[in-house]
Amino acid sequence: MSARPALISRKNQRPNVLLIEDMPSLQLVYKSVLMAAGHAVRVAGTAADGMAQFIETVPDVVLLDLVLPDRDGLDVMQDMLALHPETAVIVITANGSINKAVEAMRAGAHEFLVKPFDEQRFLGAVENAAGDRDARRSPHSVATKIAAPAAAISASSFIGSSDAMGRIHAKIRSVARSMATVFITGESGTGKELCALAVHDNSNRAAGPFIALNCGAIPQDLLESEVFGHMKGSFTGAISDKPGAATAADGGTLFLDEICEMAPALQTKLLRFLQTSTVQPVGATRPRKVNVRIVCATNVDPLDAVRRGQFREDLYYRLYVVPIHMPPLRERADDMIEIAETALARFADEEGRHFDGLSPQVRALFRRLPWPGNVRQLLNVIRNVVVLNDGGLVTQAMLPDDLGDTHVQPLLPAVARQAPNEPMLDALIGKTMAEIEQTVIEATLARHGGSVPKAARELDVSPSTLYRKIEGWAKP
Amino acid sequence: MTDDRSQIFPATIREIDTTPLRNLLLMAGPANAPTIIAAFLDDLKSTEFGLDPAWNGPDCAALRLHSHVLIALAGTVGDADLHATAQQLNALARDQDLVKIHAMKAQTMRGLAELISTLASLAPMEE
Repeated sequence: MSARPALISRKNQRPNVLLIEDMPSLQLVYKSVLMAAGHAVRVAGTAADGMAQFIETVPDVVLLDLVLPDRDGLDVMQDMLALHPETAVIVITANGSINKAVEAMRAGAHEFLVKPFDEQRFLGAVENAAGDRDARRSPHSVATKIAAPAAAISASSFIGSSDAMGRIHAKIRSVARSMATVFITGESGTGKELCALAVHDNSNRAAGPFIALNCGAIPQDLLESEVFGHMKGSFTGAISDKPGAATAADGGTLFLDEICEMAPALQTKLLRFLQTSTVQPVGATRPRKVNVRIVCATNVDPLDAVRRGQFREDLYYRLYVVPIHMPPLRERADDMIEIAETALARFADEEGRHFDGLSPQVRALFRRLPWPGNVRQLLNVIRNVVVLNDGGLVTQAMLPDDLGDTHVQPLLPAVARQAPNEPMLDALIGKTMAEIEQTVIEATLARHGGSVPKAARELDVSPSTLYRKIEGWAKP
Repeated sequence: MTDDRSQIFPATIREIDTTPLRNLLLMAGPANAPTIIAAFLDDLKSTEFGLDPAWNGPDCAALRLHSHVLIALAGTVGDADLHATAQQLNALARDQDLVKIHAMKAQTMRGLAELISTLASLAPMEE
């Protein structure tokens, strides 16, 4: 398998990008990251300025915030596509709701990104947009892509020539062209979304939309509307019809991340959707047929979630058709060095510096470290080295000071982590289930200094579930 | 903020993990760091300024607009707690759930003030 990963552009020529974002801080961050990746970037803070620059420069890719001070972003996009339909417009939204983004996809947007900023996803979207723009301009390129899946995966997939990654690449190639549901498991930072994108990009629906939905990031009471949509007036606040992600993904791929976070009631609806290929928005009287390929992912053991009653068994078997497990970095010692060396070369090139590779001591240390943040953590370390050093052979002295912390942190059993003043089992006997639940939640919140997201992670529930429970206790 | 919740959320200023922000600044280039931090501070203060009067009523449209901005800002600098709070507020403002919106005021404004304070303390270090 080729060592060329998602780190490396699919195209030699970097696209010209027009960024239209009204928040100066985000404008600066996006621009800096795009420029660091070698893109030529023009920036506008208003719709009027953005439109003027669009007409003047005819950019390859437009990054468009949907909420602008002087005009609706969707209208701006439609004007742009009317002038230059080959332009790839990536719309950006912040609130996790895909209402307008879905409208934008239907109106011709190439993709949408949900803030906050994610470097890999952000740059990946720009690269893909540029690639698809080229495909739209060339009548032969789509056919070429369909005829050469192996080439596509080698250029767009992740680094790794280990046997484990070789098997993953082979599985992606073999499954991509079917409609079979792919279930990706693996720790955070192992590249589950990249894997899902690779499945999509190598399928014959690559020209269709790739809609990613993080089931753990959206409040459970909004999730049904996000997935299946709703009709105007179906509930308080439903002021207009809203297509859901399943409809937006029609003709493409729907990626459901953190699938085990999905509420039981919605799991039932998802099962029905999988069985019938129809969606029925909240408040709609008739279902609508859609053609969607499902790829889902989780960083927990899905079978364990079934055993604990958190995930429907029938849904599990429906989704768990082609499992792909992304191995943690600590189990890919050779890939680890390959990834580090490739990233070092790329980051050094971006910073205009020259490094002579990793010293034997650094290689040995890297192989010993547990890398709890996986590839994402390794890339951050390499970026840190490149930015803070002038060049030469990478030695241990150049590594971040806190890197060793991950090395010495043992994985303590739960009982050893228990604080001495936390309630023991005897203290819980005699309490109701609701009281026990509240006691445990409060103790977990206290342990995390009141952080609901952190407590939710430890309790393996969504933050919105905790917020709901806390609100419930506050009621008389 | 109810009494029950104030027991759960400590009154002291929480510690905000600045690692994501520092990674972001490294990624953007050290030379840009002071400018980016200053821009974040300006945008956060504008958001605070916009949110403050919006609680009266409350003005759901204004709350929705400013919480929308706050989702992006808090998320980008890596303040997971404030990001989650802003998401919740945005959803409530969209649903016009006036009772729950009122209960979120103290938590939101305190989280925002804490983030501004944290970023302000970082600014000289990055220069």
